[in-house]
Amino acid sequence: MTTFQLEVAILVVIGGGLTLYWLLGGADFGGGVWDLMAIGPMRERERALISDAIGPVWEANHVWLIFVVTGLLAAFPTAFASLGFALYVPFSIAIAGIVFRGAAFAFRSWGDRGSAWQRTWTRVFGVASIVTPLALGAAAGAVASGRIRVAGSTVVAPLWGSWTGPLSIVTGLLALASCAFLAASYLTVEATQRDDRMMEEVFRRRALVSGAVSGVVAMLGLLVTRNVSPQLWHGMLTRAWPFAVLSAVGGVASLWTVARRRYRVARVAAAVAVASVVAGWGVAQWPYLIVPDMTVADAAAPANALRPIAFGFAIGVVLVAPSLFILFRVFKGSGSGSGTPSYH
Amino acid sequence: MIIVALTSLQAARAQMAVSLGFHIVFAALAVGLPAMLLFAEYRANRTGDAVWMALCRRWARALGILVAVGAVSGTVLSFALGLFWPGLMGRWGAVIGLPFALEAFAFFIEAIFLGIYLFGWDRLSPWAHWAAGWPVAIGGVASAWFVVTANAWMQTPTGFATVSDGRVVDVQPIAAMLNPSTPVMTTHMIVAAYMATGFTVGAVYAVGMLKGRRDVYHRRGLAVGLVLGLALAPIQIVVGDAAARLVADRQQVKLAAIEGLWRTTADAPLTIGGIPFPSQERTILGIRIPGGLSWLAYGNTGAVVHGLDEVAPADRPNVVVVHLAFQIMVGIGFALAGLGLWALVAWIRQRRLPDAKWFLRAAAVAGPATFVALEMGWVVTELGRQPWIVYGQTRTADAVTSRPGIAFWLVATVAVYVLLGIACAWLLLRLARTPRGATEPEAPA
Repeated sequence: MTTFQLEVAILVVIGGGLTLYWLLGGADFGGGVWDLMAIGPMRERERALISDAIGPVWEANHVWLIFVVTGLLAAFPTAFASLGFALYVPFSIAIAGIVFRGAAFAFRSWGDRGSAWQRTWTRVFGVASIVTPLALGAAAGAVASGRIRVAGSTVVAPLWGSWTGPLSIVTGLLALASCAFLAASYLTVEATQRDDRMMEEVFRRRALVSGAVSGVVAMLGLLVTRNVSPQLWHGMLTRAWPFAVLSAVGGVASLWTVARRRYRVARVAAAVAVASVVAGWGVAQWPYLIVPDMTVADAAAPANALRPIAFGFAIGVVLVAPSLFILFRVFKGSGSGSGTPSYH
Repeated sequence: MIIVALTSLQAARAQMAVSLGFHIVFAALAVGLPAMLLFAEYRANRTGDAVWMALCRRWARALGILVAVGAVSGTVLSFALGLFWPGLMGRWGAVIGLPFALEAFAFFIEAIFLGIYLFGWDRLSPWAHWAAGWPVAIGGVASAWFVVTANAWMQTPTGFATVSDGRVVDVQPIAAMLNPSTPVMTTHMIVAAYMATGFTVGAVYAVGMLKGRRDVYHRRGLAVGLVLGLALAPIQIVVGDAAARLVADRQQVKLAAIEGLWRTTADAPLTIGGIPFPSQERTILGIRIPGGLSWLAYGNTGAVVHGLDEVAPADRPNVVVVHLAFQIMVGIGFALAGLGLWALVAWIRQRRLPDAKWFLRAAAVAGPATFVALEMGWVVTELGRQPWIVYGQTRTADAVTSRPGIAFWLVATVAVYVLLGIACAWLLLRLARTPRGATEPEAPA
């Protein structure tokens, strides 16, 4: 019984890490999407705002992904190995995207304004920011879709087919659209902190559009789930529906508050929506970690291995939480936008 | 065309070698540089000296680029463990996953405070800013420690039992993390990271001084880098010796490959240099010190040292590469210690570091040479472990994925890393050439 609870507790913490990666790291990818789509006379101003917002935090935000990957590796090693095998292609694409996004973002702040160097890396940064959420979202959809079969220690999953089904397409698009929405809504906060009404308006409009798109894609996701994943749909109807409702409420509330220019409230509502999607996903496919063959219990490491991980997580959270608080306090706190951003 | 002919195993191993070999350069500098930043910023805050602050700011900008590339190349490795080596992680993940999970927290601390440090110059008081550098330095060292414990475990796996059908039972992750190789391997790597950083920074300013820029800025940059590197060089010889004796105790085939020792011998000689010929099972052209290997490995010139003949040829690592890589690493290590002796003698006689042309040339070469030694050390560690991925437990060939297209991955990895390496080198060179003073410009965002 204790083992059972421990592995669930660890999975919940990993799910929390995934939520934070989506909310924080995802927004950095969304920033890249808007960076790529910055055209017209104000593009340099938009890009400057995006760079200032992402610069100090993107590496810390990226670590949430490392946390999820290594947490899975340690606590659910069979799932980690199976997913590495089954999702070989989308993970490969995501890695390429992660490498190019990070390197391009660091590189492009160098070189002279408007130089070929800067233009090239800016393009790379934008494209990689689109590719990565698509690939990671598609991979997440594959886990729920039932297209990854596990028999004993053998994983059966087509190289391409397992992550290109209807559910993966929807989850890939949902990841991309929601990242764009998160970025746009956070950027409105950054703009108001800098008293930049024009940028506030630019990103407010974009938040409304991308938020509406996210909502439509999410509803499409429910429709697809009902048609292609009866098992997941059943879990949704019987257990996960409160989370679906909560995420819908959060999503609508975040759109509404963006429209009303209550950007800080919108941020909270968006966090509720995203956290509910992750939680609802987990609850809907419970007890499976990889639908329809590998349960959480099957994949979990033995209790001896889980205990030090749980202990390590506890210590880690005690260290990381105040550190993150300081980071966001220094760069994202109220009034922090008044100082000139500096990267000397 | 050669690439196409590679087996999955060869391609996956090559991909891993390229990924690790690339990542380790950035990781080592990311571990070492924060300590130097702390020192320079401390001096600057204490004395108000603009030269110290100029050095600090310059190094901070370099660190920003290096950590970005280090972070993303490290992410590749964490995914690659699952993508290419499901046989390692599926079977052993429960035993050795813990340090990877803990490393994530160390990296968190490093990344969070790096953001504060790099972007917080104007938002924090000078001493608060200095304080933000400490978690960066500590988090970097802790990251290195956790990751190297996992590698140490692959050399000397402990903390589990196996039953007759091959299942792994009685998992003890903390015992696995604290396996016999952990203390010495983690120390060896962290010292190497500081050495590599020190000598590399020193080399940058040595080149500047050779070009005639013999001002106080360059002298200090050279001194801080070199003193760090040179002070650690003799320590590293002691740590390296302990590492080799551990291999002698725990990985006897690896030791035999390192030394090019083909037959089990009492009174085994130490071969310095020399080229192993696997076809003839001989090592030729080396200088032999009678009884030297027996003495170094077991403290007794008469001790029996196990040779490669104790295992079938299929169970031996690549003797030529492992032996030569070890010779290069040790040769560079002693050369660096020699450079330290030169500096020490000059210090005793003149109370300052030598600035003779030949000393500066040697210091300029020492930077890249330290990285060659670092890479060669990993070649010895990783190739010497073969054909095992977990020494004595799981063969590398049994751990590799059955997915196709790894050769494509390899080509893509090489292409991407060559591109990033060139871009990064170009940026750092540009940074080094930027005249000081007028320009610590704001990065054009």
